[in-house]
Amino acid sequence: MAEVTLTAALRSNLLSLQHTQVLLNQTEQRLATGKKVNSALDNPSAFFASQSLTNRAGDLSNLLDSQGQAVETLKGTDAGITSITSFLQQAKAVAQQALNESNANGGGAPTDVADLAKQFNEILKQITSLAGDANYQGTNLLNNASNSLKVIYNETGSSTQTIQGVDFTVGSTGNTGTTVTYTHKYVTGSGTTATTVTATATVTAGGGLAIADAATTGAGSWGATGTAVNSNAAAAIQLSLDEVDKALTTVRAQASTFGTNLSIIQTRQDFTTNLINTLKEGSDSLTLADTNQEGANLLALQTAQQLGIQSLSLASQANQSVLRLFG
Amino acid sequence: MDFAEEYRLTIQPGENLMALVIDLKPSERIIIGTALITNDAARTRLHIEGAAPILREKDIMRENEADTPCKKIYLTVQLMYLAADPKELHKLYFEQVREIQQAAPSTASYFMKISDFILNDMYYKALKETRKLIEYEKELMSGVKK
Repeated sequence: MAEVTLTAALRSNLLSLQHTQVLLNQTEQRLATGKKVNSALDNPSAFFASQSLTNRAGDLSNLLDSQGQAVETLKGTDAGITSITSFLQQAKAVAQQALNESNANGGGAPTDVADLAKQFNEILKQITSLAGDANYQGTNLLNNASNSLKVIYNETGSSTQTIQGVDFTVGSTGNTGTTVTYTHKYVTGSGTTATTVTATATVTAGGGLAIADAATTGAGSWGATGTAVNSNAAAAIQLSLDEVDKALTTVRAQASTFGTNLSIIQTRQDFTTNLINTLKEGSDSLTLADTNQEGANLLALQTAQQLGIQSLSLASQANQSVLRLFG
Repeated sequence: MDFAEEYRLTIQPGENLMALVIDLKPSERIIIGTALITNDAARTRLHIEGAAPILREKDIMRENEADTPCKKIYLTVQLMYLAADPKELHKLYFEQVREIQQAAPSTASYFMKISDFILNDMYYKALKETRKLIEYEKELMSGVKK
């Protein structure tokens, strides 16, 4: 086949047409995606910078999910503790009523001792049951002190937080565990001399809250028949009250600890969410960037900031910091 | 401690390796925790342990020195580092970041690094990166005046 010879003019026109076609294709592509920088060929450094921002946003999003789950677990745990606290207060009310009746009987057994003891013990069972059911997202932080929740803050896993669980089941005699001794002092005597006598209870705690079941017969029970002030029914009920009070203190302290843990995770969660948004915004605007304009924009921003509310806020924060001492 | 490489001097016999060693010149100042400490007339060497924030005089930016958008970022990061509860400053930080990114999108890569350091509680590295950002801002702004 014979070669076609092009005149200079024709060649020039042909090249011009080809170039126009390339430009047309490019414009079509940009119109379709809305971006000035579509591939590394358009503007390599902007493209790759934009990609790395988007990738980072993606990595952080994955972490955000696991942080979110940790938050749900802690919120559920907090609800569990609130219920346990409520049960403990009910137990306290029952014991208080028993004590009132006992004192009315001169320190002897309360009139309704069988009924009250049964209520008390029922509540203790409820607490153990609730702690056992406090399973959120596969983790139970209320029925075993060896359980824990691990929150991961970065991809390599080098920044983590471990939240330790507790045992809030109710340990009573019959369970193996540590022995907790309660003492309560009673002042006896009249006139100017008073003798302090103590009554003690030994509760074998099954690793959890140390509250013994209320018994209705025998020495040291809510139905004790002795009359000595440190071993009568009133003394036994008082010791039960002490046990419940101690448990309430423990549970409230733990609620505070979990609350602090939750607050820390939520702060990081909020920061991470904001960070993901700024990364995405940064990535999108990089592909429309015009560095020639940026300097001028920054100068304009500088002027605007001199009069801005943001500057006031910054000044106010600086004023409350140790930085103000630096002058 | 991530600024150990900046402040670390030669280790003396019996020295605690975990402590940060800082030499202060006469009259030099340093912030440790919520205290501003001013050295007296002689050189002093301090060995510092614990989690308190530490800022040497040369790394401190005063509020009235922060007269450009990116210098104000430095101020905010500094305040976060020194604050008992940095959470309040997070909102301000992101407002500032958004404004600057909108004005100058090419700063986005710097902010990615700075924000990452803050997220991981590496404030000293965040401050160092912010210094780089301030240099870059200076370049961009001086380009306009030409």
